[in-house]
Amino acid sequence: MKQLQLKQIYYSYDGEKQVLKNVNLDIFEGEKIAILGANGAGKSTLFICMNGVITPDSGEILLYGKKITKKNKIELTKKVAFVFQQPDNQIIAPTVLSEISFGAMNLKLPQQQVIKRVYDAMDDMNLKVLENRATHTLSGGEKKRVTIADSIVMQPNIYLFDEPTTALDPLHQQILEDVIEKLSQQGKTILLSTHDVDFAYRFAKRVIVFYKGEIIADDTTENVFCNKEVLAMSHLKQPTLLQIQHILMKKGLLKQCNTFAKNIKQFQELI
Amino acid sequence: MKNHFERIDNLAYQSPFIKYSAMSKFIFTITILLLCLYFNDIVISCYIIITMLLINVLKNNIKIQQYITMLSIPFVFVFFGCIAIAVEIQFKPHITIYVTKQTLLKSICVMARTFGAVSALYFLTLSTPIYQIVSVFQKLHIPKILTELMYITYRYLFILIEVQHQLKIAAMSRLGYCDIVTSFKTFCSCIANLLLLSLKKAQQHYQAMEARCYTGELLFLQQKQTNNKIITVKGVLYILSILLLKIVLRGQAL
Repeated sequence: MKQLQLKQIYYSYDGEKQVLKNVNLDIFEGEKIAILGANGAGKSTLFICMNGVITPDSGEILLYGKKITKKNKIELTKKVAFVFQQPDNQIIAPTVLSEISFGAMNLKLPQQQVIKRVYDAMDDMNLKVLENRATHTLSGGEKKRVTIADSIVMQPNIYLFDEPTTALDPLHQQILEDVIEKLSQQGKTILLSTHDVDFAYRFAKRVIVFYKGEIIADDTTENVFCNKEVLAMSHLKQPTLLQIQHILMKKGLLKQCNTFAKNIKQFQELI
Repeated sequence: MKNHFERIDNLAYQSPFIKYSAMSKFIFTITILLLCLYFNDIVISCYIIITMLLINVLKNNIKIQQYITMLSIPFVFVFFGCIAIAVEIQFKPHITIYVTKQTLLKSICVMARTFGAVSALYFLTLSTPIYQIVSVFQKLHIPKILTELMYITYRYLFILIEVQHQLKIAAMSRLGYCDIVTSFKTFCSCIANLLLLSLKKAQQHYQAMEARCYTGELLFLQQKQTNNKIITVKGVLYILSILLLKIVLRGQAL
């Protein structure tokens, strides 16, 4: 089922330089999508456009087939949650509890429902012990977890993660990957922008590559990462695991096949 | 500055009084503050200074050294203000600078009164985080625009302090403060940069709020606060003790 459709989206901040050019996208329920591209390629702008924070200069956004206009763009914000790259740009409240409650309170839900959602989100992100902590005293990883809880509390259908693993230590990267995977298993649609090709390869089933505001590739993860032209154009490397498989195939140590292992476990099975 | 501000804030979050009603603490503090100012009595002021020190050290778990260090900042201002009260200058027949017993007593009284009031306010500051004080203002129907500005200012203070700290370190690592002229230039550059960054941050925060259905009103859940009867009774008894002391002092004077 098509959840979100973007048709011929154009956007520019200053009216001159186009940040998004003729973006056409169909997002289906439960998809796991990685958005790749160099800095300034338009990934973050695409996300805030998909979340309803900015209105495109031209083009259409459809949510479950319903056209989004300036009047009903709040519907988009309710269904599409956006986790910012820098937690400090997202966190606005003085304590963890008040921060997580912000989105739910804006939905004008009954108090009891807000409380339930907030505590459920805190449970999911293992934040109960930090409930009354001041947000400015949290570590980078804790702040990231709070920003994800901020989104969970809105109970959206689509999650947008803007470079989620940036500036996180390996432990918190793993925690974050597990959380995103868990959300995906719950049937949520996940779109994440990243520069980490290994993470994108492990996680995504579909990869979209942006170059100067335009989509230059939109295909399965394997197809995109085997497309040398696209990789060269957008200065992307092939994921390490894929490179190893290609080398082994070239040397005849691995059978030529069209299926590639996405993680170490699958790789072990393959060899 | 960074350390001092953050230290006070951290102590408020760690205070055993944090779970008690912010409104009760606010009323308690304001009552003591008003009594101290109204009675204008050196004994009462000293009583408040000493008892507040004991409450903060023994009940609020603040180290005496820390408390005295924190009080030293207002002390500097009060001290210089009181010197101006104590010292008299006569211009005729020739310039004479002198201190009389009366002016000295007056300045000591002002100092004690100010310190009594400051001590009372310190109790509130060290036991109640800013956001709880803002929630008290909300209950008192202070205009929303002001309380929301307070919330945002409070959040921004820490972000800007952190950014300023990073800018300073970045400048220091490149000899930005090696002499007075360079320091001045670096300082100006940092301020300009801080202003630009704060504008950018403000825009990003607004986007983050809009991304969560912000419609012009900052709505948050607050930590549950309890009204402890024993604590309330103790607070009332303390206020009564000040009144009693005043009665005793008046009786002695008569």
